[in-house]
Amino acid sequence: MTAANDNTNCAAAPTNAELDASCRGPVAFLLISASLWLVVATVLGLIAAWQLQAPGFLAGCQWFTHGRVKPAAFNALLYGFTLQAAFAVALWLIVRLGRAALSGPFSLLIASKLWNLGVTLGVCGVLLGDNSGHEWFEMPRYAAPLLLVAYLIIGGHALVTMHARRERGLFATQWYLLLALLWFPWIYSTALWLLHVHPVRGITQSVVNWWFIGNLQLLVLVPFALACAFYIVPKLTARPLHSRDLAVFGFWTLVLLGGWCGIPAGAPIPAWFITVSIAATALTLGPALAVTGNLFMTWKGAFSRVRNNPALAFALIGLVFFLGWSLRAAFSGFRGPAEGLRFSNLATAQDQLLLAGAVSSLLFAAVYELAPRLASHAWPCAGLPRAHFWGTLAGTVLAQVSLAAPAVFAAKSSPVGGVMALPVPMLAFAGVALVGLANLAFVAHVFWLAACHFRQCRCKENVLALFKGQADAEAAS
Amino acid sequence: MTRGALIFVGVLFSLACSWAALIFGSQLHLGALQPAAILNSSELYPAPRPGLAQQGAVVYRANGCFYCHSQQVRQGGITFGAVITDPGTNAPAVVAALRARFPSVSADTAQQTPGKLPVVIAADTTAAAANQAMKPFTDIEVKTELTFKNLGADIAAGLGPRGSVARDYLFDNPPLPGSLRAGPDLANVGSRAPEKFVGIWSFSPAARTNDALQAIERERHHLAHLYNPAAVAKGSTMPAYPFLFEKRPLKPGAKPSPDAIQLGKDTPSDGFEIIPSSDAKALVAYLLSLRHDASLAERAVPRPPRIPTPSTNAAPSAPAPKP
Repeated sequence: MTAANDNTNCAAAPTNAELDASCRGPVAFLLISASLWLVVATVLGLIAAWQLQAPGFLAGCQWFTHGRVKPAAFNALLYGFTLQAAFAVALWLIVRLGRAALSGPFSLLIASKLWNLGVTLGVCGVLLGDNSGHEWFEMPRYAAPLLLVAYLIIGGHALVTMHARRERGLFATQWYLLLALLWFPWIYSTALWLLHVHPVRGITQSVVNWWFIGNLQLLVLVPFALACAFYIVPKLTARPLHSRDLAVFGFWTLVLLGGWCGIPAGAPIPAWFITVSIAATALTLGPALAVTGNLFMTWKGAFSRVRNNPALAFALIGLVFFLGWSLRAAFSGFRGPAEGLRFSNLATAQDQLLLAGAVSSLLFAAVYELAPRLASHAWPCAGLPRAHFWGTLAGTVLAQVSLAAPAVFAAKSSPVGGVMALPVPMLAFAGVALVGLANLAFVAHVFWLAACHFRQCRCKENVLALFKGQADAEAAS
Repeated sequence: MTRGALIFVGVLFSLACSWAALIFGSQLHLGALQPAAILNSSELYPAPRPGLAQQGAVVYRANGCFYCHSQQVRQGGITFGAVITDPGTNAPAVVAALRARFPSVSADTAQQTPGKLPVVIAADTTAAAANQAMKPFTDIEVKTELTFKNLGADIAAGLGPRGSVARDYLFDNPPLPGSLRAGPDLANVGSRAPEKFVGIWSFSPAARTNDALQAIERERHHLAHLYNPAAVAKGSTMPAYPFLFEKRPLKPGAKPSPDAIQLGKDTPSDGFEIIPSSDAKALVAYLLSLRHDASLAERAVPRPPRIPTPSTNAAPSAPAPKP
């Protein structure tokens, strides 16, 4: 890239406000629907968690038996909130960092609606009893393909926008976004093809399923989360990235190792699959340490900025949760510990720490940064982010300690009848409930911000008129 | 790293490697798996499930049973041992060989030992060591047999006689190995004795007899368990599945339907009976079809040593304590 080229690009470069305006429609739609799914996931998740305390709760209702509510809540969280919020954040980051207007906002809006239709059908399908039987991929055949079609449009426009960037250099955030955006369609279409369309035989289906879960975790969710971290930390601490070499190392090692993880120890398949997976999982500790170390070194000396800055506060706990998740995954994956830990509540704790802890927190960090710019209005309340933060932190720690600690202590003793998962303690429910309440505070705040935006746009009169007209009509009838 | 193309190619290459090894590799390695003969028998394993059990698999999956119950027995390794199954006729030589093998054993004990078959001459060791222990006995024409034991916490907990293997899932679509054991593992639930469902979940070889009466008893047990788990297994955290049953009024003077489930003291006394729906019956048929206990070449099931019936000595063959 020559300097002359850069200059011509800069001359025509749009302002931040113009860039935000170009992506406002789709990004806001994705964010608001993600928030709504977060509410659904929270409510269903609380029902499922309470059923572990009181097995009789809603047991008489077929649609809300524990084995249906649990996957419905999980899918609402994973596909409804996490991935959807990740798409919103990714689109905004690509536009901002590439300084190019978003490509195809209208088709993106249609694709986002299609994604939501797919998730709705999928979650309802699971509740109605059409569970596919594959964990993290429970959506039935009539819902799962919609997500792929919707994704191809969303991911395609994201890549086109990235390709058309004016700022030619690529920052670490964009590497991770590119990685996640490229990886997701491959693993999702592989799972779709080999599990739904042309199911492979017997246990090979489980291998596909385990591969899909491992890849989705390490090469889609984690990259989306790290992309947020690499944007938030240098920007909000106003410091350059500590080491570009370390970032390059962390990225490529994750790319090379991440795809081999996911096959659990003790699986009824030839041992080489398991050995490869154990080795790769242990080695991913390298990129995890490189990335978090790099970001914390960037942060060094500016930690006081965390105060009164929800984005930085969430980035901090998100990175700590991510490090904790990687450490635990690496050590509990070995054959020795896995004999006592696999099938125990530690597995539940790990999924919770990744999804509701690390990835959500880093996405929240990005949303706290981008939403006010998108709405061109500051966050209306200072207390709600604080409640959100402390609720998430306290709830996650409480749930983690009360789920993982008994599992680790019990791992040495031989369980009666091989029941590995001990009864879930009430404290774990309290933790989940705290995180749920914190999430509701976040959603309320997002809607409040959206309302402020509309008021600012002088839509207030229109909206009021609309409601008034409706009220009049109702009164008349 | 400023070139998107470099990242694009690198990512695609890494993805292709992982896909080729784990997805294509598993297909190459396991995709052509076929039913195999059970060891020492001409029967093929596994056989496709009967229709009702296949319908039950759908009920099992729809209600998410696999979120709390795994279907996978894990095995650590295997140890070998050796036993004498027939001491032959040269009694003094056998006693001498026994005393050579176990120097601490008194002469009297050694004299009596060959009468108590099978005599354990090696246990919990390698195949080579077990063969070596057998050698002095085979040299004096004593019949010996190599034995083995499957190891692992799951097998010790009584979840099954051997670890699960890929072949066990051949006709499962989808296979449901599970990832959490909030309840017991169900890989061998079809071969457990009814009294073994509560408390210690033990695999019992005696329960493998496919006695028709026992089959009915097991079906009743499972139906009652599904209707109200806490009544069958005290302190159970499993939810009840009343929607799989129909509670219908009993006409005055009429006999309860033969299908009605028996709940012991919980049987409704107010003129109602509990009838299992077709889904409940299918689910139980599926549960009773679950068993990973066929002896296969890749994972064998230990069997008791074959002791020839003695022609002169009519004494029953009691298992001898290890000398």
